[in-house]
Amino acid sequence: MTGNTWTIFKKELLDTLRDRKTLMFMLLIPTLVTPALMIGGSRLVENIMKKKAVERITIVADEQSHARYRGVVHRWFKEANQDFIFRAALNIGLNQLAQQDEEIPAPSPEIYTDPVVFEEWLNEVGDYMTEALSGEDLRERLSEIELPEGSPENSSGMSLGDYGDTMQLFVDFYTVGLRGLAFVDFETPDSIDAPSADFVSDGIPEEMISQPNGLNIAAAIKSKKIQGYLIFEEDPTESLTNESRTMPVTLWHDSTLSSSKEAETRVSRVLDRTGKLVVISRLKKRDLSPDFLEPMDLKGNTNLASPSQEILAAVGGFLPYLVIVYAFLGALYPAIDLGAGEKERNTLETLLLAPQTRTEVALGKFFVILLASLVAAILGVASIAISFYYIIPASVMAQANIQLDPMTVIAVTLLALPPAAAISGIFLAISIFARSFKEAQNYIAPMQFLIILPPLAAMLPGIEMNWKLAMVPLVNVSLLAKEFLKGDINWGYYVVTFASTILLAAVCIGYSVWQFRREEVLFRT
Amino acid sequence: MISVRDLSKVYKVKKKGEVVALQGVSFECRPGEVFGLLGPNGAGKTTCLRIISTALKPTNGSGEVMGHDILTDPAGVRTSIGFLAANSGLYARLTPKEVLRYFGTLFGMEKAKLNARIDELAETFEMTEFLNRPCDKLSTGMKQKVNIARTVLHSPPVIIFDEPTSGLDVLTSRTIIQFVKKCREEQKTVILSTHIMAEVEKLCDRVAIIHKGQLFFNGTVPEIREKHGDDLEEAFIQMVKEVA
Ligand SMILES: Nc1ncnc2c1ncn2[C@@H]1O[C@H](COP(=O)(O)OP(=O)(O)OP(=O)(O)O)[C@@H](O)[C@H]1O
Ligand SMILES: [Mg+2]
Repeated sequence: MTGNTWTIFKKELLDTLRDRKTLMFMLLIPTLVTPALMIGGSRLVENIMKKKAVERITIVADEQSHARYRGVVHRWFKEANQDFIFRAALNIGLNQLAQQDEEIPAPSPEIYTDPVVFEEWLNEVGDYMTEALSGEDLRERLSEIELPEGSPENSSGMSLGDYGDTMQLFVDFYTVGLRGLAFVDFETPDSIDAPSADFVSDGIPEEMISQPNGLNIAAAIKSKKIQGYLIFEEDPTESLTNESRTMPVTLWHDSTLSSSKEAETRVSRVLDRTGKLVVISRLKKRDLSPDFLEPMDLKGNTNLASPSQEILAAVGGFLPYLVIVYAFLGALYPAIDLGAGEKERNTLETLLLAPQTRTEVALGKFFVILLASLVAAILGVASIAISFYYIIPASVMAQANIQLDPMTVIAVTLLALPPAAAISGIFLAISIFARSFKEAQNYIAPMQFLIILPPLAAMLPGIEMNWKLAMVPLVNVSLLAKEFLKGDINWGYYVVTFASTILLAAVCIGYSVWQFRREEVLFRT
Repeated sequence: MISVRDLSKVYKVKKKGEVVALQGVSFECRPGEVFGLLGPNGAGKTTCLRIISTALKPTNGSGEVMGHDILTDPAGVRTSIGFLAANSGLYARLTPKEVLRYFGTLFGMEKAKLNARIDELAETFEMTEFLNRPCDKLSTGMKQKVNIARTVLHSPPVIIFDEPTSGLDVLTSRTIIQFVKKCREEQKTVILSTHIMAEVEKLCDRVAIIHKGQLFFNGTVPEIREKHGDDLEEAFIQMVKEVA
């Protein structure tokens, strides 16, 4: 850097740092806004999913169908209780829970025999059990429950949390028992007011519009009055004993309405889980093991990728892409301000008449834009990386043990330099060409697509680095960073990527210097 | 000392083709003399001054400023001139002091000398009070003072003003007019463009009148009077008509 370039650099930097808009794009948005959006967004999705899960939905079913559905859930419960660990844990757990909180009644033995009592009990303990069974530390809490000394359950010396299948049964308790039955309000068709039928009925089956009892089921679902209409034509206690037949169940719903879709999800889970347990008991009756149904299985624990590699492979395409987006955002305002801004404020002519060369002016300005671009890129990626720690559950994070060696960090950071330089060079050229701030913005706007879209390709899962792609600027940077994060470091690709992007950057810088020497650009009227 | 010979400038404009802004203009201005470049809008005054200051290259012709050739030694020309562009602006987020330091450094002034010079100019133009205020908080008059201070910061022997008083009130114009007179006393070469007759009368030792890129009068104010009568404005209009 010559003395004049340095003088211009210092002045432009000072000027830029005093510009609120630039600071916002360079510092605030990358460090705060994006991570906040990411964390907030993921929390929001999480909350919505949680809420959906415990949302009360209304299903219309006549008393017979309701009773039959309840019977299916109870059937699941009875089958699950065949598992002694589940039985013991439920008993002990419920007793312990009941002792802790007096509002929780200890279950009467009738819950095992009478489906109606079972449903009443579920409704009573529903909210409490939801809290007890949801959350990530269920396994931990289960292992804290002590099995009575000398009981057969305790003889193996294992804790409750050690049984994988039992865990599944507890998850089922939540999805089948609570979500499938306790959080569902059943209404009989005649207890629902018939909603007015002014809705588009195209393509809706005739029988859903005019029911014999006067209820327009389709209108009731579409108007969100109810979420589903359940019909059990057969008695499951009989039908399920017939091993050569599939029992039909009907649930009318609308998959475009989220709550109605939820009704379908819940009912189909109940049928699915209960069905599985029924099959297992059928097999047992014939002295067949559950393996009868699973002739083959891919062995577990054969995946060579560590959890950290899996996370990085998932995040890998995304992070380098953000490097380029932030480099873009960081360069945007300084570039417009340093080029078109000089014209808009009528300071350009005066500056050009100081003794320094126009190349020095262009370079001084270029380096400030580059610095802003790099700062934004590095800050952005750092803060995104940090916020991932908040999004990915702590348990996964602890297993993943993500550690990047300093060499990789430096290499990836260095990789941000050529694209940032190319972007800064192009922006400066456009900006000095423009007559005003507004014109510069108009010219740069379409550039977004050129700069932001190609690296997007690197995020596609099937696309991997090769020698041809290594020569495509911007795309190659994204791809290379992705490889790096996976731990595949091919220095050949690195050199080619670096060289081709540097070449592009050099062309861009040269172009902007050339623009600074053209009087038809500087004195455009 | 400024001398230009046979200057021409043709702008290439998209769609419109070529615009001849200057055609065979020659003149000289000497130290201790205020030279006025007079002409209606679009006459080519700014173009001419920009060529002298090396911001633009002439299509044809040559020129020298204090012995530096405008074509072969633009850097030499630029160090010898102080140029105040029409409607010249300032960096809104910098203070006058920072602006002056910036240009002083670019002109290669030493730090101690530069600071002393800034203090001196602040006194001369009564800027001390707002020297550390951001430029966008200054009034038009204050800004113009800063601009003038910047123009003469490196004590150039040649000063070029492109319509220095346009858009200014009477009071601020007066500061500038007084300043121009002071420059003349200091034996500087001053060239200014204007279309205000009264200013010409008050300030200029010599006047060149250009119209449509051509210079058709070069002489003193008394000479104009002699030829075209006492009313300078009327004389100007008449002369322009004669050419057209
Ligand atoms: N950068 C440019 N590109 C194209 N044409 C230009 C350019 N600058 C000036 N012109 C044209 O050249 C001619 C002379 O313009 P110039 O600005 O030199 O006139 P001027 O005497 O300074 O006028 P004014 O009193 O309005 O400032 C005009 O016709 C103008 O339109
Ligand atoms: Mg002009």
